[in-house]
Amino acid sequence: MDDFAHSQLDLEEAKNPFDLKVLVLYAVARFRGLIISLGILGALLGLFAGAAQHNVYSSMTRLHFEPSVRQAIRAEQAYGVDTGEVRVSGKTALLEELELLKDPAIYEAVVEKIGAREILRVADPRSGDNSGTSLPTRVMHNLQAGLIGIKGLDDPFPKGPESEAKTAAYDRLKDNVKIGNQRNTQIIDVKYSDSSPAKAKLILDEIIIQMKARHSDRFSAHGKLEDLRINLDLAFQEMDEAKKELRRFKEQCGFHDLKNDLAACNLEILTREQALSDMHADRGALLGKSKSLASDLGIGGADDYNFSDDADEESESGGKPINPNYKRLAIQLKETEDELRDSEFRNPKPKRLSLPWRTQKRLRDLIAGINAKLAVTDPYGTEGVNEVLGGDLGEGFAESLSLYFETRGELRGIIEKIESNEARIAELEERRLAMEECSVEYGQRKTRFEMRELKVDALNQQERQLSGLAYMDDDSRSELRVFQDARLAKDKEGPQRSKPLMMGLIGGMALGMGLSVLRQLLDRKVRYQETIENALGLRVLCVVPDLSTNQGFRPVKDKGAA
Amino acid sequence: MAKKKNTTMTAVPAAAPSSAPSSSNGATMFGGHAMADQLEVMAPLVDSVWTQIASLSEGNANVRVVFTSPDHQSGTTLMAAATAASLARNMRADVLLVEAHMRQPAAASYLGAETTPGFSDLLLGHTELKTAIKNVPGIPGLNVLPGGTARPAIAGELAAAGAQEILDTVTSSARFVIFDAPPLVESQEARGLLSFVDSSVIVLRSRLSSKDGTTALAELIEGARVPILGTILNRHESDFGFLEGKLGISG
Repeated sequence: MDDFAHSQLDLEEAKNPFDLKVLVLYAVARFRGLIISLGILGALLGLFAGAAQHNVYSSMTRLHFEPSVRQAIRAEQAYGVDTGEVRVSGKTALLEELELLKDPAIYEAVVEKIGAREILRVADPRSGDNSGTSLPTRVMHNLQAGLIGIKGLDDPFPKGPESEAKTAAYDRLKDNVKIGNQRNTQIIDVKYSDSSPAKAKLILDEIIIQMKARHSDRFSAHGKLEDLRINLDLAFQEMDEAKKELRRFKEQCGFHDLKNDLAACNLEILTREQALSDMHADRGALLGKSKSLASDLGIGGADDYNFSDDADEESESGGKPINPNYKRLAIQLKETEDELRDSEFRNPKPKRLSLPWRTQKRLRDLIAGINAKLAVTDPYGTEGVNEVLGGDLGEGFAESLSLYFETRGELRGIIEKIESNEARIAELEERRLAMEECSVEYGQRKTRFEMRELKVDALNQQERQLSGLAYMDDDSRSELRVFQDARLAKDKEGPQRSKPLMMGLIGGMALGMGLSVLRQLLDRKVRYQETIENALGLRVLCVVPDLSTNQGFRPVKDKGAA
Repeated sequence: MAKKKNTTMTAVPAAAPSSAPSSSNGATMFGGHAMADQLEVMAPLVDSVWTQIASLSEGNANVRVVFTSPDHQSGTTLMAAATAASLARNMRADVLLVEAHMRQPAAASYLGAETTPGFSDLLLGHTELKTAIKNVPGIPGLNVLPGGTARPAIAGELAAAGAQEILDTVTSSARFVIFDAPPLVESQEARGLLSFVDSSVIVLRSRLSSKDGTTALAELIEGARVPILGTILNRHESDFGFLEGKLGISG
């Protein structure tokens, strides 16, 4: 054919598998059964979901708010202070009041009063049924009760912790309470919704009680004044107690005048320390003199050790000086014994008449002689002194010896004074330390007392101010009165059960349509003229309807081909 | 409307008896309706097909068109017969319907002509062309070369010199020559017909023919440089049938 190209449709360019008409319109018509079925299924699910929601009944109370003079003045200031045009308006006070009524403390108090689990519990929908209730309503209520039981709403938090239940109850109250103000009025509407009329009213009544209490706490100067006076009394008691405690402590310490006592103690310590220093100087001088004399007399070393030995011995003898002869014999005896001990160590068993034997014999004889002399010598007398000092005592020597004994006596006296003084200083320091510790503790207790005194002063000042405000409130007190009591709701407000029903219906149908479009998209068979033309790019000359279903046109039994 | 899964709903009979008159045969197969009656019902529905074919005759001595489909059971034979009948009636010209579908021939039955001998016998040399071609009673100018004795096609038999000569003769023996061909994608032996035709018509059966099979067939025909005149969507069942008679909507 010469017009081959002309008569052809372009198979590639004409292909358009995403024909909206085929995918959506024809799909809907083709799978209408599926779509309708899923829609009905969704609607049924929506119906059950709606039935599972509890009924909602609302109670409403109207409150009348009357601001006090003080609140009105504040409102005036808020409106006119910057422009100079002072306008009397209670709007600011009303807004403050509305905010106050949303105070979480109100809902927390209601939860405490009624109980978290009671607030959360969904009321049995059958509880309001009576003989006048229609059968369909009863059936619906029974269905609802069953579904609520399945969902566990009739007893939420059966085992959960109390804190979680309280939090949930608080959130429930907060969500279900609506507070509003009628325009240009002082009327405040408080509305509460719950699962039964009685429960809604019960909880709303408690909410109103708590709101009024909160209002009173916040805006009544009298109420505040009473609280303040209670606090003031407590502060007074605390201050008094601190004062008594301070006094008791002072007595316990035993100081009449701690400051002066401490100063006197310090002064005495200082004086005694100076005196002690002088005494040590005197002692040094006397010690030097004593040593010098002892050296001159040849009786003892020139060091403190010998003096100390002498002093010990003298102290044992009641203060009498030791006989120098006795002391010399004692020293000689000790030296001889040492020499004998050395010889015996070197020659434990010497031969008779040998030199060591003779030396040891001589030393033993000498020791015996010295012991004999010591036995007849008074350790504190003057026998043999001349013999010791190598001749007769001269006049000068006797004077020196007398001076020596006198010096020793003075030295002993000064040592006794030093010891006495040191003991007193130690006693004074101990006393001073105790006084210092008392002083620190006393200071702390005093500071505590002063703090309480300051608190009392501040509370006294607040009391004076509040007394003035209370006086103003006596003329015009801020009030929140119940204008209209809460009533039992006659009709339920919700839930809108048609909403889940419609959502289920629409959702089910949408799902059906989605599945239909998907199936249409995946269908690999030729069904429509549009498919042939758009997807395959072939022209359709004619569409022959299926006549096989017509009466008399159906084949009886055939295996006809092509 | 219920979806019918009966694959034998098409108005196509099983293999026709080799020599029985077609009218009696059709009457026994279709609930009291003769196959010829079905042809009469179908003929007006294919008006747009025969007019398209008729338009191809301008400037051409004869027009040769092949009817084929991607699948069996698509109603190709009935469509080809109805088109041939309409052409003969409306164009008052010589029309020859050649049934190249030898496995299950049925065209003669539709047209009320003798079924044998036919094309299969002619290819085997069992008869002569003038014997095989039969006049269709009641439709002047319409002749049919029926499928003949039912048998499977033999590979390469259309490529044989004798067959080529027969086809040459056949295609020039009438002003309009309509070939009823088996599905060309799977019947490779019938593809040789494409070299003897000027145009083609694809018969698709709604809900049976696949998109992939149709595309493969179209590509096969285009590969042979034979124009595709168009398609016939047979046995179409509207998804909007449930609205028929309602809201002023007609089927």
